[in-house]
Amino acid sequence: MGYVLNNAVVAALVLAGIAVGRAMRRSPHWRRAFAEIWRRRGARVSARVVAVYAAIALLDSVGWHPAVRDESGAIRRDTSGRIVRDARGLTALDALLTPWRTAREKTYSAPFATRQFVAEYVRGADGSLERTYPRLRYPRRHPLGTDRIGEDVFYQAMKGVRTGMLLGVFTTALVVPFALIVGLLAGYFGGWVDDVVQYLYTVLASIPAVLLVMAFMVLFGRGLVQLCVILGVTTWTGLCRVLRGETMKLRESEFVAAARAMCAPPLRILWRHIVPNVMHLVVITTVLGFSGRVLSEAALTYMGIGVGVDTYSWGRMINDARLELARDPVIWWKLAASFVAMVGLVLPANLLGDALRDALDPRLRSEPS
Amino acid sequence: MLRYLLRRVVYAVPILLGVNLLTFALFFGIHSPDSIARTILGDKQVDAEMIARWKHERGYDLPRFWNGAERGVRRLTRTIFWQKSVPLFRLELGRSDIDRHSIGEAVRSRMWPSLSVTLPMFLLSLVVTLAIAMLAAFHRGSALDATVLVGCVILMSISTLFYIIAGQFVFARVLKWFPFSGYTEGPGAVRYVLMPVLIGVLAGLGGQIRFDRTVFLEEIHRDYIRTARAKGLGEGAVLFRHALKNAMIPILTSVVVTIPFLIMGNLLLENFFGIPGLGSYVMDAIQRQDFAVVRAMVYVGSLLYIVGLLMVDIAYVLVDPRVRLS
Amino acid sequence: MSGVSNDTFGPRSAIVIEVEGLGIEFAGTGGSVRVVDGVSFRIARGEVLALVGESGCGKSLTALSLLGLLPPGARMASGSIRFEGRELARLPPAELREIRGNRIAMVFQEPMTALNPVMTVGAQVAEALRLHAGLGRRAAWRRAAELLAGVGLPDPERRCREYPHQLSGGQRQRVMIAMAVACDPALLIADEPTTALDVTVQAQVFELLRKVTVQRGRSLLLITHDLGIVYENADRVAVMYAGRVVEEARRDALFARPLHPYTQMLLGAIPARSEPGERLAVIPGQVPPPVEWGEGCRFADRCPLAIAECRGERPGLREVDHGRRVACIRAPAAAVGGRTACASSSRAAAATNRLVVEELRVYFPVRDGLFGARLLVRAVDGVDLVVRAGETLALVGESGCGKTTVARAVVGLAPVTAGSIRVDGEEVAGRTCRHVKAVRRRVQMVFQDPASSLDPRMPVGQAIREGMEIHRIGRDAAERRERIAALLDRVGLPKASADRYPHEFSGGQRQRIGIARALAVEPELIICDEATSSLDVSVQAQMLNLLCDLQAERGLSYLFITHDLGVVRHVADRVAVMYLGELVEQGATREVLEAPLHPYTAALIAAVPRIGEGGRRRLVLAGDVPSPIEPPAGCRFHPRCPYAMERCGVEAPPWFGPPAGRRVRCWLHEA
Repeated sequence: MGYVLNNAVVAALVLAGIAVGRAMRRSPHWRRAFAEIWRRRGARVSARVVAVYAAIALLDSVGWHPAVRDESGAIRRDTSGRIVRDARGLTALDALLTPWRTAREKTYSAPFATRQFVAEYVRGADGSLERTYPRLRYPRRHPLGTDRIGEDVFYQAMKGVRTGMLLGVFTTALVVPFALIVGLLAGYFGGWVDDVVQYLYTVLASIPAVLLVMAFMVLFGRGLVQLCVILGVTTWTGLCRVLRGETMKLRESEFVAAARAMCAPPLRILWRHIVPNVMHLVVITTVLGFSGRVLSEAALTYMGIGVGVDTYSWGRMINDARLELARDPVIWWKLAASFVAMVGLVLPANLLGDALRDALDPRLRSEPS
Repeated sequence: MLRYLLRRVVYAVPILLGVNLLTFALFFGIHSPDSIARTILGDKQVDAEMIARWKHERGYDLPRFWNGAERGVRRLTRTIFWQKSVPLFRLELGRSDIDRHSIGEAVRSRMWPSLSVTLPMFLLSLVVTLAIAMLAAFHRGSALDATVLVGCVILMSISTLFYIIAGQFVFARVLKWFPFSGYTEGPGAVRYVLMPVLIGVLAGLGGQIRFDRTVFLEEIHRDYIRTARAKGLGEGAVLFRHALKNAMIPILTSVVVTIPFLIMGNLLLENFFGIPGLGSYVMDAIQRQDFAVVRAMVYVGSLLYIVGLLMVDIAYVLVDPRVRLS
Repeated sequence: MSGVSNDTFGPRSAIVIEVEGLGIEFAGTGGSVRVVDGVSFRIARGEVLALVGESGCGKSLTALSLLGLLPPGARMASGSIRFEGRELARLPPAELREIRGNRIAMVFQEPMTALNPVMTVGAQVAEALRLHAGLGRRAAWRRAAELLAGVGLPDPERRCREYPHQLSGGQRQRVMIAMAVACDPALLIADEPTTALDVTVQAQVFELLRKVTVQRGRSLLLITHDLGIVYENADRVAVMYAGRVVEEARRDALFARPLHPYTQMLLGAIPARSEPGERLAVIPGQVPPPVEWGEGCRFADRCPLAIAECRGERPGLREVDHGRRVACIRAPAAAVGGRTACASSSRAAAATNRLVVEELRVYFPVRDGLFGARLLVRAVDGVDLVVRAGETLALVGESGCGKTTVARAVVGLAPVTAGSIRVDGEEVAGRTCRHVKAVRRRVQMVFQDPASSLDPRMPVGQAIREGMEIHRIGRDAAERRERIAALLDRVGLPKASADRYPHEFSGGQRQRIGIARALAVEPELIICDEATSSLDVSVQAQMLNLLCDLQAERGLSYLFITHDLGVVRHVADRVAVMYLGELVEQGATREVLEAPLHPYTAALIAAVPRIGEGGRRRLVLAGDVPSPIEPPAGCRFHPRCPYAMERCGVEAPPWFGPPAGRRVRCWLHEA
């Protein structure tokens, strides 16, 4: 059930993304902004890197349940003749990474090693116990080594991509419409509407996020989608505040006054005048928020309120690494892998966010000018 | 001034009420008093009588929000919500559900370990980020500025958890400069506190430097800076005597709001480094389902947040003459 | 610069600063753009040179380059600046800093933003003293107070301890002047020093500038676009266009007989210098952007006297007559022709009242600072207006008098506290758009700021269409498109503009789009809220002519909100003068402006620079406009009125005169 829901979410996100992209293509302001961004090499590289991550996440979202085969290779069927399918399911990414997915060792091994990292007592040919480092089943196969249960670390890092991307993108997709509506209404109408909104987010901001997340998890179960929802609930106030402030400024501008003098109804003004003029803030805050959410997953997993145990995530890897670092000699590859994977997504996202900000709102330049 | 403070206090009451309501709703949404009792008592040989006694001792044998059995206003007041909320408004934090220890006492004693980490972190961070941001703004456009910017983005792209884990590993295990974790009272605490402080500062460096630098650059392009230059002032004087004073307004006000929260401590740092502060206090309480502690600490937290907002307004008055003398 | 002898400058023979061949470039994405091209001038000791031009001509950049204060991205590409025997263009930064604020000082345009808001006024003045004169803290502070007294600020010790926001605009500009003369500079540069100030305050500031410069033997370089100010204050004038100086002469000679076609047309475009109802001389087209500047005469495309040779080579400044230089190969011969009358000069006011405003009051609640009490700003306090069909009523006053609030109340943008507003007999005050939509359609507004009156993210065609959609004008999309095209054409823009965005147009063009937007719903009355105040003189002339023509074609009425009496004289049939929320005088334009009854009206008129009338203005009015929160008792003008009697402070005077004709509120004219 969880998996189907995740896939539906991914599909919805892709469709929404396409719609947004087409809307932007029609507006010359956005075209010019993107052209300007594309001129910077750092932004180009960042965009490509993020695109690769997105592609991996998409591959990991297309899945099926393969038929279970028995030893002879024949398809197993149940009593009523239907094909028995593997409950766990495989994704396209799994299929691509089969060489690493199926290369299970017994326990730890270093990157590209031929032998296990942990010594064992093996009964030799002459019957005596020997302390040796056993040979791996798949020597030199693991570019990032294996973990305690022998699973390939590279595979884990790849599987974590989908979790990270979904967290970033889906949470944002939830936050944006909500913060937009609330922020615009509060900023435009002021008065009691504004008071109510301010009351709401002051109350929400006062409650420790930990408690909110835990309560939500208990009520609605643990899962990636639920985590995205509650993460959105705890982080929407930032964007809302910014939009509220900008709306209040725009409300006093002369073109809004002109529309009001023309007897335009408030909703028309909000939709046709205010929304297009705050979109750049939405985009900027969104891209920067994306990074924050991906990063926070590690801390949430540490506190036990992150993703479930059966979901791959970089946060889980970092947490596992904590124990591994305590060993002697130290096992560092899981930490390194998750670090590189996470930074590899968040850093380009941040750079893209900066480039977007410079292109869309020159007052907030982060580059030396 | 007095009227203003009074107004803010009046505004605070519905917020605190709302916070309380939400906390109660969330907590009781997860666990009913019965299940809480069962968990705390240990599920071993609990029978209905023990549960009932446990609930009665702690005042959980009332309905949660609405007591239909009573008459008039007692339908509201003879509820768990009312009975537990009102003392909070008198700042009586009550006793723990689990071991009946005084929450107020716990706050008073655990506050200092939290502060011993967060206060130095706050001060050090403020000074370091300001200095680096000013340096970058002064040399804007140069290689130094570019390096600072790139460095900030990289620092911002790393998870706090990684800083902590890697930091612990490098400084405690490899370099052996600091102890791994732990805490003692008194001046000996310094060796235990130094590492979490440094790591905490490092984790927040990137974002804050960038913000400060942006504020400085915005100021540098204003008209009064051009006037100052037209008077013949050098770049240094322009930055320090003119831009800094104006830039401090948004920087300070964005930072002041966090001051009351320093008391609550940094959850992750306390947990990893074994600091017996208020952050870990709350974490433990949530996990052990100690509702009394949770609601008291949430209340304190929101009170501190409101105080923080108040301090921001006051800070504006103090540093911005345009607000002070309308 | 050869051929100009020193005795050109008469007895004051010492040259303070000499600029030659100044060139300034901006580094852009597609290469650098030259925005100032070969500018040369010199200023003698004790002389006032005015550098005049419209926006974008490069005059401000020229001034900034003298001090090395060019904005980032701009650099001085060529030329020399000789000052007190030193070459400023090649001076090392440390030495240049010594000169800034010390030997050459500058006064900027916007006094509010030009002063550090978190530093006391005294500290800012003292700073220059401590830096250049080496004074200690106490000595500098004392000297600062002296300087503030010298610029006419009352209670200078207290002022020293105050912050800029506690002073009025005029007072802040005085502080800037005090700061500038603190170290006794030889040259003072004033860059549009009074553009942001009211006209009565302008007069005060210029009086002060004259006092501290010419009377002390200092030189003044005055940068401005206002030819009236030039006439009143300058000894010599240099006219700039598209980065070059096109004419240079003594003031009297320039105004009596301008030689360059641009100067001629510029003078002809000033409303105050033309007859009411007469079309203003219009310079066709608009100023070309720097990327289009060629080597030949840059005015050629707009010049009625242009010939083929004009576009070929750069016309250098030639000396014509004694001490005059012109950059035009056709001067001094040809003069630009006359103008035809505005079509509506013979409009008869109809009997119907389009707009009737009675006893309008608009009060705003405001909080005094963060902690203070609630106060009431009486922005509009009992105003009566009538605008008849086909006529133009001007509402004049200085900033803060409430005239814009009246306009906003009429179109429903400001809340009406009391009073009535009737359009064609129907009451609209206090009624929401839902009920009176059809009536609101008949009154439209054109706003002041072309930069923000159009939605930057909406194509202009859509902006024009918005009103049509709301009021259901036009049967379908196709018909609306046609109407939009016709409107754009009528206001002088290409029909294809409908799909372009506001930033692709100039300020003047955007104002025309604003007019098209107002016309789209077929109104009967258009309120122009300072609609031409941010435009250059030549652009303003185009706008006023357009409005004039539209009025004749469509029988429109106008309510013209402005502070510019020259514009009033040119366009308005009747004028109402407003002060601190109340009307003080009303009547036919000619009568009011030529024979004002109310002392405030007289002061306003006296404060406006008049070209060609010889001597300088008499300064009538002192002090600043008081705050509308606590208006003075009795007649609101009495604290500043030179004719105030005892009665004026006690009892507010009623109207004396017929309601529809000439009337005034002043005890002096008690009938």
